[in-house]
Amino acid sequence: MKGIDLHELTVTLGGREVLHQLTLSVERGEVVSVVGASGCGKSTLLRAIAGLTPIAGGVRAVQGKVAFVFQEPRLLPWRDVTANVAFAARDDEERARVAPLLERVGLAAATHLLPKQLSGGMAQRVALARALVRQPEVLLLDEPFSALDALRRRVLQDLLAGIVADSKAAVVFVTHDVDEALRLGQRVVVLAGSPSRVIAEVPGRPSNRERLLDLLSTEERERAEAQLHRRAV
Amino acid sequence: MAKRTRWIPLAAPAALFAGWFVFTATGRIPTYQLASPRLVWLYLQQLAARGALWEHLGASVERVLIGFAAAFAVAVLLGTCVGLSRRCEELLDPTLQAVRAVPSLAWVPLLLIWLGVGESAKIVLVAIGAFFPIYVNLVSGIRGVDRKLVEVARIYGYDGWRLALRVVLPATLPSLLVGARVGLTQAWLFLVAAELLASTRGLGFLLIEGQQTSRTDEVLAAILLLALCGKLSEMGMRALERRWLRWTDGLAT
Repeated sequence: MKGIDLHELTVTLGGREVLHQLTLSVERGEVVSVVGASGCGKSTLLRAIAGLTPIAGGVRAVQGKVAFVFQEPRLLPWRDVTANVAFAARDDEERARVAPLLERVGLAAATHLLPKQLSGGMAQRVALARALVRQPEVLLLDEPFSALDALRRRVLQDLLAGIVADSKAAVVFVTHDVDEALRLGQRVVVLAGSPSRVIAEVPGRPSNRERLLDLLSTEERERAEAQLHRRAV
Repeated sequence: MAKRTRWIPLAAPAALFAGWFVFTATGRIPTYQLASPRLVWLYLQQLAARGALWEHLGASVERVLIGFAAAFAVAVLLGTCVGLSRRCEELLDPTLQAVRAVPSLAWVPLLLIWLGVGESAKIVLVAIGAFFPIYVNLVSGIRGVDRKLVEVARIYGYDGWRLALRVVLPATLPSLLVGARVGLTQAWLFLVAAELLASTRGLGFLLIEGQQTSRTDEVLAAILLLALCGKLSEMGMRALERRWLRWTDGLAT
């Protein structure tokens, strides 16, 4: 079953085309990692899928409830951990999931803490739990672990892998970390260019690491050269 | 550390009081220019004995509370509309800013003509004084609400009044409380202005009566009472801030 179906999606921001005729579909139960240089439109792609950014052309079909985990935890500072997770709940059934979810992300002992009392990793766990309260059909993650150190990042990657395996959601995981992309994604999509499009798609296997790095570094070099060229002219 | 430095805020008032005591006790300053602390204290006792202390104090406190409450209600209503809706802002904000630019005492003649010398003119003046700090702080607070939190709320289906109540207003609470604190101070300021101009009771009336009868003890007593009221309101507002803003991650917490 399709969760996300984008066909020739075009997004413009402030008159500039950021995504150009991008086509991508993600099945439910599938995790697709998206990599690309910073500023290439990875976040814009997620925001367009979530409906936070309007699309200028093409077709965007997103089925079911959407949840979004941002780069920053984005918790309500005046609410404790439990209330922040319950913020996404619409009825008693969803509210009943809050406590088990907090247990699952390892925060059963921190339910009454305020966001200012949490470490970066804990806060991002809260954000993850909040995203799961509605049992979303579409889960969008925008570099959720980029602010964490290597160890915490690894722990949270494992946690996320376990959660998405159970969730049957269509997951799009944006990152600039090639290893993370390969670890979590069944497919890795490479975005590049200005405006951005999909330049390659590789299966999420560790053996594809070199290939991905090649793709990204070639792209990076070309971008740098183009910039130098522009400056020289 | 905190314990040892607690006397510091009291040092300046103590020195001031000591100077006042010494200057008046040595007779270097005549009583008709500056009454001694003892005379002020006696005056206050006398005032209390005939029940007039509570009458004057009560009249002033009542005017401040009613005026402030009215200002708060109107400021929250208008500030929320202007902060949340572009159209409301275009409709109301230029006018309110223009009204704000008028020195507030300029309203006095008009208020006296419209409302007479009764309670309502004084309460309206107090309300005008308290209104703008609350309104301005609330609007800028709403403007400053983290767009990122609003985005999260939208993702989870919050909009309209639910968005305003669950996200925007709580996020605005720090600014609103600062506005209310400044507004309450302004309310006392405008109260004295109103009472100096036309009143038969209240702390401002004691000031003007003391001046007209050259009773410096009466004037000083009124000033002390005003200082006390101002300080107590400030402390009350700060206590509310401490209680409601425990979640903020600022230097003060």
